[in-house]
Parts: sequence; structure tokens; C-alpha cells
Amino acid sequence: MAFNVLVVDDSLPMRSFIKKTIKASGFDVGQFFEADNGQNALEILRKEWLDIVLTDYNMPEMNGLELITEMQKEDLLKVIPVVMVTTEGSQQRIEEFVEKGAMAYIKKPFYPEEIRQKLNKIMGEPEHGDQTFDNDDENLDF
Amino acid sequence: METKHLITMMKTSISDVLEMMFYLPLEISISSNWKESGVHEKDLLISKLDFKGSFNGSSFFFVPQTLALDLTSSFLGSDKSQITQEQILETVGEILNIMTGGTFSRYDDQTVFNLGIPEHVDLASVRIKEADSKDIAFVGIDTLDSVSAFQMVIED
Repeated sequence: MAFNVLVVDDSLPMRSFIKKTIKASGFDVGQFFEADNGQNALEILRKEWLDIVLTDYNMPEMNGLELITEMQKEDLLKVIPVVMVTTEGSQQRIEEFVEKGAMAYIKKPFYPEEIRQKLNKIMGEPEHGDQTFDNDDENLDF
Repeated sequence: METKHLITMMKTSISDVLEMMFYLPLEISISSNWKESGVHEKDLLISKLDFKGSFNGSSFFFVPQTLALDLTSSFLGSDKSQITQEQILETVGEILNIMTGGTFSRYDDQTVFNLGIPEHVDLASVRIKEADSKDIAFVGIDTLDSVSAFQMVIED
């Protein structure tokens, strides 16, 4: 099953890198969507069918936490899993991500395998493919 | 603020970012200031990022244009001939952002450091690390054919 993925980051190179990494990881992507801040991400989320959102924290206009908060207010959006992909590493900030409803956290810099592992844990393991990561049943991705 | 500890974390962060995301072989220079490091001022790109936390200041990434092009090409997976100057500047800013965030999460993961948005500045506007400037943490980065540097200027 192919998944539609929204990548939210104010850095165009970082969006390209995340897309490149997801493609290389073998994760089954239907269509990529991109936004450069939370506000633009919300507009896309209200128009398109998205299966998962990967978002940065620190962005102009609307940051990643504010995006999650806004998504939680809308029935159709609050069920979409959100993964924070960010340089933020303080315990306090990570706890905020969890409290607001982020499903996983990937700290920059990251190995491509980490992206694949987190996405597959959230969206379900593929039925076929060359899985090289662990198959433990942890629910916690922080 | 412990400068020695901060510099150790800066070095670890540099290695993590440049080796993990860019597969760039590098050596952390033993130089502790601008003059010793051998950074060439010609064709140098400089990205600046302000931060606020248990101490405030700005971080800087000094990188030669040729290396910046190599890094951008590697990051985007695009041929060098297709890379624009805007992509280069954005990539250099993103590298600084990740190196700075990584430094602080290692330095003190109990404190939130708020990072600004990376901007590009001229060398003339930057305080560079002299041998006796104690409020600046400096790390030189030697790659195969160029020298870069990561610096933090602490304001208070």
C-alpha cells in the first residue's frame, strides 16, 4: 500500500533530503507533498488525503508544535500521525511533542534507516521487501 | 557556561552532521582560533544563527564555496552543475542549524535553547576568534582539500 507523505520544513534542501531519504529507504510512497511552514501544511492537509506528516519544529509563521495543536482541533486531521524531524533535543521539548500528540521523534542528523524504521513502525511493516531493521513491538518512538 | 565542555560537544556535533548526513571524511583541527586554523577568507560563505537559552549568543559556520557546493550536491543528490547559489546558501544554513541544535542537546538536554533562522553574513560583520577571546568557542574542520570552521560567540 502506498502512502501519501507531507514533509514540512522551512529549508528546501532539508525537504529534498528527507524525500530522498524516504525514497531510498524503500518506504512505499504514493505522493509527496511539501510545505515550508505549519500554516501552509494545514492548507494542504485540508485539501489532500495525507497518510503521515513529517514536520520540523522551528519554522516561521507556524511551528511544528502549533501545527499539531491545530490538527488536533479537526476530526479529519487529528488521526493523521505526525513525526517530528528536528534539531530540538531537550527533554522538555520532547515531552511537549508527546503531550501535543506527535507519534514519533527523529533527531537531526539521522541515518536513513532511522526514517524507514520509524515510518514502518507507525504505518505498519510492509508485507514484502528487504527489511533490515528490528521487529520489536515497542510503541514508543521517542 | 563551560567553554571546554561546549567545544567538546561542538566537535561531536560536527562529526555527526558531516559524516552521518554528508559522508564527508574530516578531521577536527587542533587549532583553537581563526589564525591557527588556516581558514581562507577568499570565497568564504558564512552562516549565522542566533540562540537563546541558559546563555545567549550566535553560532557561525564558515565554509569555502567549493566545499559548500560539494555538500549541497551530496545533500540534494543532484549534479553539481544543477545546483543554484540559493540552494547552497540554504544548505549551509541548515548544516549550521543542525550542528548548533546537536551541540546544545549534548551540552545540556535539560535546557531548551531556542534557535533563530539562519542568515548569511559578511566576514566584516563577524567577531572572529582571536587567541585571547574567551567568549568565543572555535573549532576548525579539516577536510581533504579545504578548511572550515564552526564558532559560537557567547553574549551573556
